[in-house]
Amino acid sequence: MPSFGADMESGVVSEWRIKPGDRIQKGDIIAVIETNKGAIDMEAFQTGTVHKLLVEPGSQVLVGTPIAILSENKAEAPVTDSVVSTRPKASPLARKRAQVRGIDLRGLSGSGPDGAILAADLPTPIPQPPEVDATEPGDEKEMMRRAIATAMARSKREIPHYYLSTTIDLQTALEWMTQYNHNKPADEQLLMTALLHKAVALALVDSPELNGFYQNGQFHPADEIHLGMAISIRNWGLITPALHRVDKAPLAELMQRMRDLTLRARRGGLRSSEMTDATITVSSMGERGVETLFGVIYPPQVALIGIGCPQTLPWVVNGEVCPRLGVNVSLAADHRVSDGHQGGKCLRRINTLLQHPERLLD
Amino acid sequence: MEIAQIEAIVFEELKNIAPEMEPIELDRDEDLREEMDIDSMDFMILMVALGKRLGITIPDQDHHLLTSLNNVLGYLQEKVAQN
Repeated sequence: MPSFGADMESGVVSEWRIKPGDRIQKGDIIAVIETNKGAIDMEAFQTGTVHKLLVEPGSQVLVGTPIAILSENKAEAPVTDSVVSTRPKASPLARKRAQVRGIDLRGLSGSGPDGAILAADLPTPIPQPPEVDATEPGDEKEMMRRAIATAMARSKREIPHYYLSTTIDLQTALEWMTQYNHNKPADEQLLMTALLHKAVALALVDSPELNGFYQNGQFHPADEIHLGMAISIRNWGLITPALHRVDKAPLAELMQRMRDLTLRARRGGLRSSEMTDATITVSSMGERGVETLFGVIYPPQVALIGIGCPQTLPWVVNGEVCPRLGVNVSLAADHRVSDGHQGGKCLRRINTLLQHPERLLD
Repeated sequence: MEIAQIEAIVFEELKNIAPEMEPIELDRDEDLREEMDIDSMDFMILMVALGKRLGITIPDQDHHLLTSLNNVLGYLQEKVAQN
């Protein structure tokens, strides 16, 4: 059972998409896992042949417990009932318990006569967390709340946050976007949130100390920029699946992917890689929010960009006060890894990019 | 197309963007975006989906007409009839 985030303790295998004997490629969806963040499509970590499924659909399993065996060797046959000759020696009790718990006896060494496996040779049972019926919305809400509580408490306990914020003039970007959207069908239009995410990603190219993970007392900068997009699940909580390589994504494609990710976050169908590999989080207030958002970093990430609600502001241009669309952008960053000087540079870079929206296009 | 059919499609698409809401419980004369806490991303997803399912285009300049659920249903019925 893989972990889909620092705050995940267990998952329910709700559906297998594979059976013994199937050839699978790395990245194929092999199971649907019910977690405290909803149903996630689990991707294969490696290419191989499915040898055996170890847990029945519906089982709740702790993170780290094997749920299936893959063999890398193509020629190896899948387990079938006819392979009786390879049946290891074991006491009836051991065999029965192993079957109940889904343990493969062939991997074990026995302490009985002729090396037979006894009940005492089976691995110690893993304590099962209390049964959770994942179909009850009340419980899902409870689970998501608990997941957020775990991650955020850890963040505030371990990460010395510092905060910066700046207000950015969005009028030029708005006018450019209005022109871009003119006469385009709804599914080809842009929203300001896409421009903001792209500007953040491009600014991060020059601020590697904000993009990566702090693990085992050390900062590991990430090679790519995967923005965790905070998506609110109304009156429940939120999830932050990753938008991959945003700095390299053309704006039109990014917009499509943001729509797709939002829909899947709400309906289910997020992939396991999207749940685990965000290198920084971007949290947006949306139109009905307030002007400023100061975030709490999602460990082991080292920064979070907060985007407030855009509003029309009195702004001074060439000595004249005029109404312009503005937005407050904040940074919460890990002081173990970066300082205010570097953080401020990143926010200023986001500002500069938004004054030249055409640079965000490709 | 009957208004009941259009309503069923609208309810289905609303459930897609807000699975935790029951559209039947909405106040049909209140602002839909306020009632359902819909942001611009959700609204865009909704417009794209409704346009596709009903085979119509919903131009931006009509968005201000789409406030309450009753307004949305009335607008869509008219649009579908014009097709």
